[in-house]
Amino acid sequence: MESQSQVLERLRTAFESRVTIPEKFRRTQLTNLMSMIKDNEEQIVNALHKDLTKPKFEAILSEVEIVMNELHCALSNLTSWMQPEYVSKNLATKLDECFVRREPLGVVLIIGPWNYPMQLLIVPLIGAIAAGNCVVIKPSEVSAATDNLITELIPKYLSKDCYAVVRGGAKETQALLKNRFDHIFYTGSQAVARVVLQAAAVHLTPVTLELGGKCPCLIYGRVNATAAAHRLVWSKFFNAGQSCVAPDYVLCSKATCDALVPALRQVLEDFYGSDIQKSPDMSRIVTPKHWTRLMGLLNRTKGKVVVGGEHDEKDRYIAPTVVVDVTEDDALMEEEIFGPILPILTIESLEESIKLTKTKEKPLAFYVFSDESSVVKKVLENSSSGGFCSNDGIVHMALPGLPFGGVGNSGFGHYHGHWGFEAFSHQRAVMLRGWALEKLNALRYPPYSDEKLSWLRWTTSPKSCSIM
Amino acid sequence: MERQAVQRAREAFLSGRTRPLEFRLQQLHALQRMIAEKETEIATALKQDINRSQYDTPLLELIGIENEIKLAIEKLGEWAAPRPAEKNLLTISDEVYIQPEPLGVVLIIGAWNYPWGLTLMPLVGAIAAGNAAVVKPSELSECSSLLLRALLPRYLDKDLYPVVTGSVSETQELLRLRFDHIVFTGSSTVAKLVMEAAARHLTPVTLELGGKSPCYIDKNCNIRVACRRITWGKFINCGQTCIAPDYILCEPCIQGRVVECIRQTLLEFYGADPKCSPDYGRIVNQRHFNRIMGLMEGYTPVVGGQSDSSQRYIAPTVLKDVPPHSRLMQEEIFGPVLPIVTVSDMDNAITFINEREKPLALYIFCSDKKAIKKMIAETTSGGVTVNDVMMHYTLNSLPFGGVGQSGMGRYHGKHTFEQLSHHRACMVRSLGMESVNLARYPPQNRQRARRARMALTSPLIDMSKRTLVWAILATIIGLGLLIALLVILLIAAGLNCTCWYWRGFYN
Repeated sequence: MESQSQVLERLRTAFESRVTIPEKFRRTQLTNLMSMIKDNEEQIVNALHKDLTKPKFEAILSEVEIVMNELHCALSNLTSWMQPEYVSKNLATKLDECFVRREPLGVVLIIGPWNYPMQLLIVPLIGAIAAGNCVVIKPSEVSAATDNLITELIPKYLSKDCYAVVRGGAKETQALLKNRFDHIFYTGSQAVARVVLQAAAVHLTPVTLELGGKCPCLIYGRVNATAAAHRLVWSKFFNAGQSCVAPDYVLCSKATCDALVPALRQVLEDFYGSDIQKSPDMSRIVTPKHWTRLMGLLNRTKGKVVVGGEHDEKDRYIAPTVVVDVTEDDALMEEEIFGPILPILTIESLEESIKLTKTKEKPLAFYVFSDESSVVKKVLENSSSGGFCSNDGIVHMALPGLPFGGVGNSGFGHYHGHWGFEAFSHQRAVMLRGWALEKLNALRYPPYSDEKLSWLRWTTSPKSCSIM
Repeated sequence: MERQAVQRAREAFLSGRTRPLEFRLQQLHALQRMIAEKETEIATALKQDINRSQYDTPLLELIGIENEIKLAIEKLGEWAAPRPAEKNLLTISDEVYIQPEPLGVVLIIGAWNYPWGLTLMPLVGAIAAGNAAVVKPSELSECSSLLLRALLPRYLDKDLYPVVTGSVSETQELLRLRFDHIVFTGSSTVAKLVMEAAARHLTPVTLELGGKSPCYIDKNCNIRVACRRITWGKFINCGQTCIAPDYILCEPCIQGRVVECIRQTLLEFYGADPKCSPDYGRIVNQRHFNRIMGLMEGYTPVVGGQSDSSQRYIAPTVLKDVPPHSRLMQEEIFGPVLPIVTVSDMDNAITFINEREKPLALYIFCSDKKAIKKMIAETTSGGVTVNDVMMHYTLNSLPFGGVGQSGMGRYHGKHTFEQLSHHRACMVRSLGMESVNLARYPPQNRQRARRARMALTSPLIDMSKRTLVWAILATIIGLGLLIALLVILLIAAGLNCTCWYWRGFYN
């Protein structure tokens, strides 16, 4: 079996041979990737079911469809993305060709997480391939069945010289990070992100970090409780709450809470039936370790469980649970929950709620449910987060037209659609000058004079371009 | 002290006063006034720091800053406005857009070689993007650093844009604190420390570093003009420019000519004794003077070579036939010493460049368009100027930044605004139209799944070539059919009238 350094050497040689540069090559690889997904949809769904008991519907929607959308986007737009971008000029450069060239960075590393092991690995891969890079793919070992599948499929469909899968746990990943890459794309937790960044600093490698955080969900003003409950339940309990953009906790007034809880209860029954553990549409917690962590939070909470609470250790099952009377210092407010537990904090005023969210780290997503546009506007203008969605959850990240990324503790850099291509490209500024107009150039040469200076100021001013 | 300044900046940012565009414009206008009113003081400080000539100050630093400010003032409304994004069927009735937002408190660490330009240009973008900014000018350009500390609070908001001076220990203290972005201009050694410190707080960084920027001269180009332009770029600021042409690559047959042209140009620019020219600079300090003199050890220059330690003066110097593995070729020279390395042809030059770290700039002097295209395609660098040097830096619509060891991120013009903003993806939905949403809720069946798939498929309108062709074809056919129908109707109407005429209807 190849060692990590052998893999890297092979990919670097392939990159230096310039085989990934032509558009045709990138298109072929992306088309093959599309075939890989299409041909193996059933195996993908099965692997995801093995890892997370992911229902077929969720697997198709959030791990197959979204990847296909991104592939369509890349294939439709690759030609235009690869074109040089001509820029506006000033008088001094009027006769020059000035443009920005998008170039691949080289050999890049993509580290995927376990919660959406296909999507969060393959969507960045699409951007990296489209941008003309060679890629080292490191799937999460926690979602073992998907890890196996990806390791088996990638070399079957993509060029073995340019794209390699490297497997392993923490030890192997740390060893991998000692190597030099031209970009590292990491999706996961803040703790590991710091390790990744430290390793990247040694080689001055640029990084994209897609992290998480506690995504608040504010419900204020006039609200249709049933519609809100539908969307809240869907986005919170999708993948059993194990989404980086799942609404983590709810802030609302007592009256809203009183109206919301029965609505949530009803919707849960409509969605999953009276015995949720038997519903084929509910996922499970990924590992016993995470199950124990979540149960720990539930046991330590000082709030009151009003919906759910049932659990089954052998099945790694935790019922969709709603906890009310949660306060700021509760166990459930310590860290990102990443599970099917929804705390509701009762805060009477919108202003107080906004103030509370400001004391916390910037999350990956921010949600507000309200029929009043003034409430939505107030929250939007007084918060900061990776993304924002009013009156729904998660769906804003499904559009390739919107950049997906965090800010502050929730990460930096973004991708999806065109941004994925840009994340893995270098924007090289090119200026092609001629030999003529040396007289104009002479304005800048010594010996200097006041006259030369004033002419120079005029020719390089951005305004002079607008006169033309 | 640093901690308090940063704390005050953060509180000032959290007060929200940088949000309104009017406030940012007001600050930019104030900065513009500062540059205009204090040009003489700035020139004096630069003369003391680095013996910068009176004209080099506006030329090399102030014009750039002025242009950045003018552009930001003109375009701020456009840059800060929400940008609509493409929707799918599910989101067809929603507001979907990207809102640029300030990051928070930005740290700008400046460099000593262009202490005003490299510190204030990022500041312009930081202000425009609505951030607070802590400015840390380089202690090596001490007079400029102290002047900036005195001037900035007189023109800009005192709390939002503090200047922190000091050397290594003060910088390390600053780096222990948390920022929302760090812009660093300097060496790769210090950059690694900056990035490591940033890693602790998960802070994104923009690193503007350097490297050895190669300058290739093709044997068939206009060598005289090429050498004039190279000479200008190399010896400006006494070679202490991150994008100065570091070394020349050319074929042995033109080496002599290149040396002669440079010699002639130097005479024209600085006279017979550059030491006496008011337009020729000095090395910033003794340490760098010794470093550059050390690089030249063992080599006999063909032009220049004179030096005066008491003035930190090194004459414009050219060395030929420099071996690729010499000390001169191992580190960025950052001084007025120009080595010429011979290569057998352009392909050899490309190999030479690719064997080394990615540079901040690449210069190609060549008259053959195809060859130029090839060299650009087969190499990489932060930026490229063909048939001149450094000019890609002066156009602020072009992004300026490095790649690999020469840096990450980019700025200038709109790019600074983008770099120092967060692009927040926003989707504003309503609670209505719940029936469309039903397809995605459990319990799931095939019908619902199909509908959900359809709703989420993007793009809404397929913009591919094939669809465009079909669309045009369909339109033409449709129009054709419409015209045919009209013709038939007209004929029928005509026939009808004629028929009725013959029948005697109109009698």
